[in-house]
Amino acid sequence: MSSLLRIRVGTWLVDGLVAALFALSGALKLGDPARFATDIGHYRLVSAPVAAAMAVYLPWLEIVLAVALLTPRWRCPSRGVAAMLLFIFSAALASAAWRGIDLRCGCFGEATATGVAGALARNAVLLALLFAGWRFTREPAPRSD
Amino acid sequence: MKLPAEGPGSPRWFGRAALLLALPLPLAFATAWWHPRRPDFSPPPDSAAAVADLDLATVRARFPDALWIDAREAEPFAAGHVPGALSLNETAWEAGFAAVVEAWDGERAIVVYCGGESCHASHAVAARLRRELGADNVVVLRGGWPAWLAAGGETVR
Repeated sequence: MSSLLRIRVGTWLVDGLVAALFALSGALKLGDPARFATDIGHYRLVSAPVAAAMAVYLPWLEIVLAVALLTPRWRCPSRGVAAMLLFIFSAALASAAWRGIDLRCGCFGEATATGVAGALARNAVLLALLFAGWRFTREPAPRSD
Repeated sequence: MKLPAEGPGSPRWFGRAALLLALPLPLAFATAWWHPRRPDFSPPPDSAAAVADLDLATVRARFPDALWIDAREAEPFAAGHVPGALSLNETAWEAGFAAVVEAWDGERAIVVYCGGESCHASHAVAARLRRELGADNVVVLRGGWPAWLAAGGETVR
């Protein structure tokens, strides 16, 4: 297998995996936006109406990003937006943990069954995959010789 | 410094990123309008902060005949709870709420507790009970289940 083909296959695998996770996450949240709004409210970062708006917007954003990650022309910006989203999610998780909010007290259902540490680790893996995808597809530097 | 035409940071990249952020908006509006489980956008009349936190001694003194609500998940509830308490949490709201409607006589105070001081579930359940049950006298047990155990309260499985 040529190196170019390996890079293409690697990119598709990495982006496909991240896209599948985003699509699954968005679809699960979209099944019950009211429940997701309650989950957002438990972070105590935004008011109830803002949490409700986020609960109907974020699942669709995740699904749009999943589709964009599999579309060559949109792959690069979608990685950037996805990375930004993961940073924001991680910051919210860390903030809740810092303020002593118990994320396991029946507040989040199945969505965060892994707890704060598990969710942060999952986000870190996703960020690493996005970075790997970006590295795979980056234009090679012009040769100096 | 010249920016690449397509790469990260280029105007085209920012344009596409902005479009990605804007694309979900119509879908979000449709969800907010038509989804059977759409969230409530109005600020709650009784916010979670407005529900009073009372310590166990005060609760016992003021509401000896209170209806107790356990806002934890089913598993910790099954492991042990306040005698007579009903399980009601947001994961299985419909099932628990029906039992509460049946048990509440419209007059008794309702005391809600969850897994501890930092647990928000009791406030969320208490606020929702006020809205959906129309109960005024809903309070939260300060310190939750650990406070009950620390006071030597009886437990049942």
